[in-house]
Amino acid sequence: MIEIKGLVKKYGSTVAVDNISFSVERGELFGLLGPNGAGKTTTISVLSTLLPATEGAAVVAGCDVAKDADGVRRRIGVVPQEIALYEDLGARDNLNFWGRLYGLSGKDLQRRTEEMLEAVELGEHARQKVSSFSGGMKRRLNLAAGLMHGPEVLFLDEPTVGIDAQARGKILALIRRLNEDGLTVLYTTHYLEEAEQLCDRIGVIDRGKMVALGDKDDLIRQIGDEDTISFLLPPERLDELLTLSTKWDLVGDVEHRRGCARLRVRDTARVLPEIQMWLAGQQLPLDHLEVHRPNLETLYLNLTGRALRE
Amino acid sequence: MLSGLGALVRKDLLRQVRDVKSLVIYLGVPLLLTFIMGISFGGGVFGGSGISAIPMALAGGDLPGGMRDQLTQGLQETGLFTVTWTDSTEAARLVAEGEVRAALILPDELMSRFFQGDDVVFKLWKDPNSQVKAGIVEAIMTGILGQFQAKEAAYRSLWPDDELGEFGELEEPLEEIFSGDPVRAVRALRTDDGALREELLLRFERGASFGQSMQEPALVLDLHDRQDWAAEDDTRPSRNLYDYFLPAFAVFFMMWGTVAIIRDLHRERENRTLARILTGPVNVATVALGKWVTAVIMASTQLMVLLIAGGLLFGVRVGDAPVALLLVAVATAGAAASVYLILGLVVSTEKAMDALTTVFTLVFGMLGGNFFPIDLMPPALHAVGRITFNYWGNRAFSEIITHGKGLFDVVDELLVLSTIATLGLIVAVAIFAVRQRRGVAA
Repeated sequence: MIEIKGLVKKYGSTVAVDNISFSVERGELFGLLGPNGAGKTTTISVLSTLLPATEGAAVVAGCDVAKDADGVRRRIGVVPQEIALYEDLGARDNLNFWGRLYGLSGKDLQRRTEEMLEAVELGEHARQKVSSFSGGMKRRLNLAAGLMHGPEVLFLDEPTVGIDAQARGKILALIRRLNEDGLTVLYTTHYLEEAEQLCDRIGVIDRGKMVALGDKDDLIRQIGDEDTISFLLPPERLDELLTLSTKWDLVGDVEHRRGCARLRVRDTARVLPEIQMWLAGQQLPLDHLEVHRPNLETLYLNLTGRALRE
Repeated sequence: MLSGLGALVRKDLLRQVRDVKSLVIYLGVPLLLTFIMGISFGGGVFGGSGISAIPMALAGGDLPGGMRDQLTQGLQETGLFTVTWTDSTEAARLVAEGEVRAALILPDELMSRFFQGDDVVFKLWKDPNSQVKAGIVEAIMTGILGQFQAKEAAYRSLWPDDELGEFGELEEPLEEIFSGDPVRAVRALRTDDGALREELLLRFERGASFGQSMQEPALVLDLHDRQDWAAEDDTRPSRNLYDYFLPAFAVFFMMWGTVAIIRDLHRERENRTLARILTGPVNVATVALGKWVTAVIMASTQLMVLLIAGGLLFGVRVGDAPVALLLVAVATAGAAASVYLILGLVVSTEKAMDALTTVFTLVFGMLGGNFFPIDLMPPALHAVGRITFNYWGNRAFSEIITHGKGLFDVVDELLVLSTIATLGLIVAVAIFAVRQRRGVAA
């Protein structure tokens, strides 16, 4: 459904997108991860025909973005990172406008508008001016505006920025539902937990380059399947722990930083109870005992050497 | 494209109508200012102190009684003045106390001096607190005197050595001169000899043509218009400054209103709605056209509302050629929308557009005649004014409202405005397309 080959976008001497290639299958929910300024929005801008590519080729829904921009525009929906709505109009007026822009009219427009208002739970606020909406309501309406014409491909550019957990949950649930109904989604975010929840495949983009691409679980497995166990431990007890840990299959050495011991283990189910028993026997506190499973954050850290939100 | 264009225009109009603050600025403030101007300069249901009631004094001179009456009658028949004859001392007091706007002091032995070729100096005392009305008195008196000066100049140029003989029956022929038949009067004055009379008549007619050609620039054409109207239809409202300033200010307000609508392009750019629109099935031409159509609808509506309000409240003649008036309003709005669209697209931010359009509107307003009649400007600036779209709008409105012209009389102005609108829109779209290719359209 989306095919990108060697895409480059330069602004003068600045390379915003540097030779990236990937594809998204029909009905797939693909996550494009990266920190602010990584090139995610630029990529979506090129795919949605807003920006011309400097080099490379991209095909969306069977249409070449450079040669058949009109074809692409009729088949895509774009939900920008900003609240791209008319705040001086009501929710219904906004949706009516975006629907009309794509040729909807009469009863079709009315029906679709009401459907979308219900889908984003804004039916009761249909006449209310958008300027009076909460951040979450605006985000939901922003999403609905991109869906009015029933696009084949939806580009979601950080659609949950700046809203609370509850509002985010509603938006993610709606996206999941849309995807289950067959909508192809390209989702950019710098919230890794969102990508973990939603996406089948991901691409990690950093400073314009694609640094990882593939199935989410496969990528995480590539960085290792060991867990990290950490707990409070006075420095003088470290030797005892080292002695004890020789019977465990550790990955790397035991680390001790800021009063915490940290071990990377493959067999968490066996090691964790033993550590708990040892701590209890030594009358050491158990309440700081934590187990970290590898995730996208770890993956990103491994790939780029820094945390995603730095 | 049409559904996209319709959606864009409908959205913009909806936003304009729903935005009370914007409506107040767009219609309320211009209406209020129009109302104040109407009360100040207009007449209509508020009466007012139009030019028709300018009080002026005439003093001095040794004109025969009949000629005084004719001069008074002539001035009052213009519909612009209320004339009082007095002496120079009283005239000075009247001017100083603001009871008349100006006083014209005629020299002693006026007629003898005039025919003997001596310098004839008229003094015009003006009320400094009423420059406009006093200026009108000055302009019209200059025009009247100019006619006689021109005739005298013509005569002297043809017969430089001619000596005046006996005047004979003095009052009768001089009154005839003032009543508009100088040829017969002079003929009677000069000779009874048939051949000589014919010769004199021929020469004088030449001189008269020469004089007429000289006096034309000095003539105040509006004065004659007013006389013509009065002769044709006494029920017509009296012409006053408001007739000129209503359309001039309406066009000026319309220019600001158009800026406000085009400025929205930058707001849409900043809140990213423009980017979102451009990811839809519309191109930059449709977006530009949408903004243009909205601006034309709003601006021509604003113009018509202001003109109709001026007609209803202050008796401005807006109903004689409604189709012409509407077409001129649409064409002027179209030209304004195109020009401001270009200005809006050559800059990248709303702030920059505000700065550019403010300077532009003020300069164009002045050059185009929105602040004062363009005829008052030097010829060079007059010529420069012709490059402004508002000049053509003002001129067309002036023809319809002030001179009572119809649609076919303003075809030239309509063509110029339509050309500016069309070419301007094409240029604006081209600029927009270039910005899109560079990735800076939205």
